[in-house]
Amino acid sequence: MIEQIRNQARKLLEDGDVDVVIGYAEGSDPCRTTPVFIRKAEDVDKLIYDPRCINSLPLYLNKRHEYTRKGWKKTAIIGKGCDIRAIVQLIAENQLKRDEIYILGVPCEGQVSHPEKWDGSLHDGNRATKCIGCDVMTPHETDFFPGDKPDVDRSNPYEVTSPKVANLMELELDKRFAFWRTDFDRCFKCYACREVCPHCSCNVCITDETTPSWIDPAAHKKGVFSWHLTRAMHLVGRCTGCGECTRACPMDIQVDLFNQRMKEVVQDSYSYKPGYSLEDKHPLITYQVDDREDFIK
Amino acid sequence: MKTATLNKSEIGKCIDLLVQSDLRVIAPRLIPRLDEDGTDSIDVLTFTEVESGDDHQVGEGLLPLNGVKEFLFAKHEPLFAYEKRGKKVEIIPVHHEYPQTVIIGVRPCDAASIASLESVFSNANAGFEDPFFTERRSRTTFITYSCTAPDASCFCTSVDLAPDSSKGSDLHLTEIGDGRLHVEVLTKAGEAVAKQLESLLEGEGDQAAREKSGAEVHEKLTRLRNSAPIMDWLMDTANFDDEMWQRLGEKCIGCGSCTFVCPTCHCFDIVDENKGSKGYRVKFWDSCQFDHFTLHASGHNPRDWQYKRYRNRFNCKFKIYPEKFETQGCVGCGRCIRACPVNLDITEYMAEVAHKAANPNAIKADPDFE
Amino acid sequence: MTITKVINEAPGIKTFHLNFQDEEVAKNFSFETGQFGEYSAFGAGESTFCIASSPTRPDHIECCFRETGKNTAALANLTEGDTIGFRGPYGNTFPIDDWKGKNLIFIGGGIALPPLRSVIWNCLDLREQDGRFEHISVVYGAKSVADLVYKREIEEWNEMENVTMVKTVDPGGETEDWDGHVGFVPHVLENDFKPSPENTIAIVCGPPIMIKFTFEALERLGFSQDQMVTTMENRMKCGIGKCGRCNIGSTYVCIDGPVFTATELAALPNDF
Repeated sequence: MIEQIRNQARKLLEDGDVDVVIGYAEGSDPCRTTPVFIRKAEDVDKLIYDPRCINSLPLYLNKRHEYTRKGWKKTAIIGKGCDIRAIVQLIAENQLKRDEIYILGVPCEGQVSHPEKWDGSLHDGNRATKCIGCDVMTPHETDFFPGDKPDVDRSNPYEVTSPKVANLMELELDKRFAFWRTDFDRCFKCYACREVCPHCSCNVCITDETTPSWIDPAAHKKGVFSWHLTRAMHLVGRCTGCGECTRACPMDIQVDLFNQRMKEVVQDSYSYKPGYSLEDKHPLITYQVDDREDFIK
Repeated sequence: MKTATLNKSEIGKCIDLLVQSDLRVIAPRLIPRLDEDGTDSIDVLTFTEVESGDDHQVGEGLLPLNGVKEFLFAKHEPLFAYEKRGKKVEIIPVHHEYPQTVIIGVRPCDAASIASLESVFSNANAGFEDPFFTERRSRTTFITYSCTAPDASCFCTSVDLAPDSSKGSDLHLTEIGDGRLHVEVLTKAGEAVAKQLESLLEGEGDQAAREKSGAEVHEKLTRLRNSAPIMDWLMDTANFDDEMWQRLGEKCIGCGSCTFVCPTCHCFDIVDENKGSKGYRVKFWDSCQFDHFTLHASGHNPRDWQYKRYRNRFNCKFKIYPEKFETQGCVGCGRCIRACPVNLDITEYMAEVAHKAANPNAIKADPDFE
Repeated sequence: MTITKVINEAPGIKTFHLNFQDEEVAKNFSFETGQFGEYSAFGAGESTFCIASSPTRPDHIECCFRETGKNTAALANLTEGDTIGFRGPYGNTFPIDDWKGKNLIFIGGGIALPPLRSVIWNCLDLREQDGRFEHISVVYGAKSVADLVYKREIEEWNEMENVTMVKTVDPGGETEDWDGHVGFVPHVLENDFKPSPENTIAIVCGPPIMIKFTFEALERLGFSQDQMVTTMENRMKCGIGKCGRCNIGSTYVCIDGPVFTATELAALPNDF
């Protein structure tokens, strides 16, 4: 499978169709992989794909990481299903043009949740929760796919959510708040959750604005809660469920539980799952005459 | 130096004794989980305040995620409060409570970092002292614990440290087999703590066993780098523009994780938090990896590309700290490697520099790269 | 400190005259030319400006700033009688003792005149006292006539004996009655003023790009790197070498600078 991807990447670079291929390469440890930018055809053999490739690569395509993309006119990117959802969402939001991106889709059976759990193969003991029940294991939007793409039923309205969400929702409100107080005590506002997110694309993030200062940058309770809740609200209807924010958090805070819960709310309210359609705009930025909300009429 | 033996199983009792003498005790603990729900949960340690010896992981696991930095250099703290009254402003000092603290279970890498932070925050640096740091430091005692099982990301031996080093320690513990620990009392503060624990300490310890078991752990580190040529290579300003910085650093996403988990990173910001006519001037952690860290009001940014920001970090660890502050910048704890979401690896930079230092004509700067 | 006077120098640029509220502090305060302070509008935050007045005129201190962001906007909103915060003096100083018996040329552009103003008046005052400096020249330019800072003092220096005042505005910035030069500062320096490097020190202040071009022009005129001095700026916060923000390589602008010779600057990495 990866040979076909490499061959296609080689062809794209040799023909000058793309400036760079973004993919995965071996990391600095046997259990890790790392993003790689291939500019020369002879380097395509560095590209790999296996269950260690949990990184979401589309973050390099958004406006916030513009400097990395300086000078690239057309970019090829290796995408597993969840990553392609992110790319589709970026295109639907006009953050990217479809013809700027060449999507090399890869079939995925799941990813290992933590490098320390890698023992040579993917199995139930190390598969990430987000992968269980995934409906884009065969990705939906690609320019190239190695082999045939079987039909997949993607009509399930609800996405995979961690059992933690249901557990939290069952707790009394004060116990729920106590859980977050404890977890957020560890947060020191490093913004790793923001930087790995493909959809956190504001050139100047709201928390970096100084005139006025909307969100206190310091890591006290007010600063931490206002950051995470604001980010959760800014991602409503946009988060495509890659789980990178939680993976990137150096203090192991489950920040994407908010996003997972908000997805359920969005599905209940608008019957919408982000990242599947290039055309459908997400409900919080569109207005239709037959919208069922009547407070705006 | 006084030495003794302590049973590892009695560490909980040690903690109880210290808590009972009105000391604030901080130890590694497992982060409490809401539930055990399978694959996404792994055991993680952090340093937190403990009330009793029943719940601690001293000597277990490897490195707590947070290190001891936050107990000396606060994540955020008010410098003073102010109240505006017409044209006048009243400055109201904020009283900081710094209880006497013992941090137990500190690994040698974290302990070695304290001297680095001291070199920045004490008045040895330009004659200005950070009183918030020095006050906390003077009220903190470190009980350190030699490592027995370094992981693949540890590289303390590559930066002139060791997994059984007692640098920065007040009281140092090393496992010597049969569930016993060799205790070394190294400072006055260590003596005070040893006195609190004297009912649990016995005998003279076993220096030979301590040295043997310490040496055995050295062999377990697999991440080995030659750091000797790095500072000289960085001192040559021509290498500041070497092509390797962009090649290695272009995947960096500027998330700041590395700087926040790093035991020696010390950058901070100061802002006024205002509410009507009152407010606080607050000091809090900042990171040189953020895109606006060096942004001038004019719009000019000396470090506009992310790889330039990571270049600054590497320079800070391997040149600024040793050259300016005469202490080590990197203690080889490996936290930045574990934390980085895109596997940017400081030891890869180290290897690249060592290679270039040994082969000065190998790869020349490529002016077309940018 | 209390703001005792506000002067509108140019569009968006103000000067504050400041006095300490506490008499003990005022009595014990002293600084040397080249040093800076952290000035704050309470509720906004601190900003770094040089102390723009001379230590030879200690009845008040001055700062001059352009309104560009949160802190400077809050400062610009203050008026006479208001209170601001001040921390300082920080940084190193212009080595004026090394300049005894020499000719001095001060070269500045735009909002970069204030740091030079402190040392210009310091040198003029000391020369009047004991004649320790030779000829003093000031080369200063801005984008347009309206953008010139310290307009009154430019005229005052123009009138002074043994002082050459060379003023210029960028092409397109002149008015009908403008009697100075037209051209960028480094250009006017090299082509119109053409100072001799003989027994002369050049002190330059401006945005990084202007310093670069001016140093190159001075080199072409025959100045050696030891004869060129500048004062740098970088984004700062603490001003006392702790927050790690203002470094150029291992050099902290707040404690090792802000005054540097061209020799010292050339040894710094390309990090500013």
